[in-house]
Amino acid sequence: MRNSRRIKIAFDMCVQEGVKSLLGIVVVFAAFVMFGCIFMLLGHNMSYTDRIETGLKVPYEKVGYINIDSMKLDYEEEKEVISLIQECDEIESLGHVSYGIQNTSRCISFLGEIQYGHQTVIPDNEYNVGEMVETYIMSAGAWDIMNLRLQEGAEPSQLEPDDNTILLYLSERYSGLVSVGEHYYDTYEDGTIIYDYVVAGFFSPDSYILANGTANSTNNLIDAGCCSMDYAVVEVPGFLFNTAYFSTKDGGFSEVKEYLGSIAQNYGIDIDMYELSSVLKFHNDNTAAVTKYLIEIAVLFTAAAVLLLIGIQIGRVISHAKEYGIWLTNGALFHDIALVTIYQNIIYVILPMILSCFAVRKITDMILLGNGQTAGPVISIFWEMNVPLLTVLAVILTAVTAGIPIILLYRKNAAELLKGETAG
Amino acid sequence: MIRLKNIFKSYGSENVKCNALKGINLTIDTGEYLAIMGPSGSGKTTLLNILGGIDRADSGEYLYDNLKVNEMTNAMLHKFRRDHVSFVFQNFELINYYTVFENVEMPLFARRMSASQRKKKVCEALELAGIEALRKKLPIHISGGERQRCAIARALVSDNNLLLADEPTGALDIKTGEGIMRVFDNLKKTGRTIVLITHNPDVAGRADRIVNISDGNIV
Repeated sequence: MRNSRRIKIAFDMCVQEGVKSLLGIVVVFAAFVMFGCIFMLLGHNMSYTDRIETGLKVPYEKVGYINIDSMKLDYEEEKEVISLIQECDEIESLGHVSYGIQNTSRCISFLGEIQYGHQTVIPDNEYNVGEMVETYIMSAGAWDIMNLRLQEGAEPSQLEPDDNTILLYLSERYSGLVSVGEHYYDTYEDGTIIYDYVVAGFFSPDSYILANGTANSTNNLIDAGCCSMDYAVVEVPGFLFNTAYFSTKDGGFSEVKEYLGSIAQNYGIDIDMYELSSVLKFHNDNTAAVTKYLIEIAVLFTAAAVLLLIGIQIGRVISHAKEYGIWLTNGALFHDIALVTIYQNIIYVILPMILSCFAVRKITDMILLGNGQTAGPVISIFWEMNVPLLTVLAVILTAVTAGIPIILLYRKNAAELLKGETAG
Repeated sequence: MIRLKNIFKSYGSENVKCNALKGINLTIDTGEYLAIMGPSGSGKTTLLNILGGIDRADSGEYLYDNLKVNEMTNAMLHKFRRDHVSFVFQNFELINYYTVFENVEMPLFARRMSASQRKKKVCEALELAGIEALRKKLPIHISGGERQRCAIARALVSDNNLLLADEPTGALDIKTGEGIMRVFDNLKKTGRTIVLITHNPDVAGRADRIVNISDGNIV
């Protein structure tokens, strides 16, 4: 018998079952969606460290965060403090990052047309399309810490902007809208320039930064880890800020802490310092129980679903026993029947598995990708962990749910199958 | 030629054993039209199933021409069936969601024929069974007699030499049964070996030879 005929027979049997078939496919689909969601949550939980590493250009063990209580300082003093911190021998790079800035400058608000709907820090109804753009504000030093790469343009350290110039770095998605070197002027009504926005470069798609709030406390449970630069607009101004990520030369945080303490004492201010590895440890310790619980659920749910699906499939084969008997008395060989059973299982298991991947991806979009900024790392979990796991599970399930009925069929002769007998 | 020597077959466990065949010896010539008669439970169908290779004897020898059927593996038995045996059952055993044409076409799928060759063969078989006009109908939309003709056409289409019919008129009224038996009368002219099981002496009377079986023995 030709394979195409076997597939047709399997398909005919499924179609003939009508609603029963459809219900079977829906049950398997639902099971795979559940598997997929559990695997996604599990993958998301277990890959926090990976996401942190994705957001950085340097090992996370060398990265820390500084928060300067600058309320008591004037601008010049603040500038001095930052300069002094930069002079610390153990600090290699120091850079600020602000997240989710609502930039309403008219001259660059047109960028929002591309960004709209992909960044959710700002409620949808607060601004209309084209009225604002959400940006990150970074200082040049952040370039050496965050995992930022340009596919066109020059890094801030090569450009050294003055106080009125703001360098704009954009996702490649904007490359059709603006070009490197273009200026956009934010002016008062009389034409005086407030800021000169210069398009300085476009990020390559593999650019990431640490997610908002990742390192500014040792007891936070923010789990985004990193953000992709998809749809990102980054401003690099020439002025100073009071928080910064820093990287150490050899992980000498105690030296940095001592150094910062002396500055704080001299200026009568507080300077808090956090090690990223401590933050990470706190997060991972706290999610370990959840991860263990998710693994238990995944194992139990998989076992229950496999047993249920085997039961359904055995029931299906029993209901078709007579047809298999008819085929066997009309020229079909046993391996034809075995292959028909396997193809049936492919229709009942692989097809819903493929559909479930689309559903899980959609659910992932809704639950884990609420903020489009974190899309990249989460989507990589989907492709690198979820889809392979679901595929392996579907193949095992197909083999088991086809294998048992095939064994049942093999133990019966055609005369018994004609009477509808399979069990016993 | 078919030769059965000392065929035994039983069902059930050691404790509750039912001996269906108790040392059957039977020879059937090629092209012979043989009727097997006997009361219910006498072992007729078991004998037919063993002849058709859809069941196995517990012991004894079954020779089909020079083939030792009783020594065949399962795979060989499936091929033996495909290449030599056709069946007609009392309950027709048609697939209800296939049309008459598709039901008759079934045995040809195992023979890797082209669609046009299959169509030609099926049309010939439908004509021989007298149901050409029903080719597009589903079995559930035709009468019992027509269904049996469909089953006969399916048995004919593969050109297998051994045709086994298990009470082909058992589920039909007298008039319809008569029509079916006329089809069998015509089949005899094709040179096939026909083994037919029946309770009906009139049906058996149309065969070349009648074998009576009772309590697992030929009498």
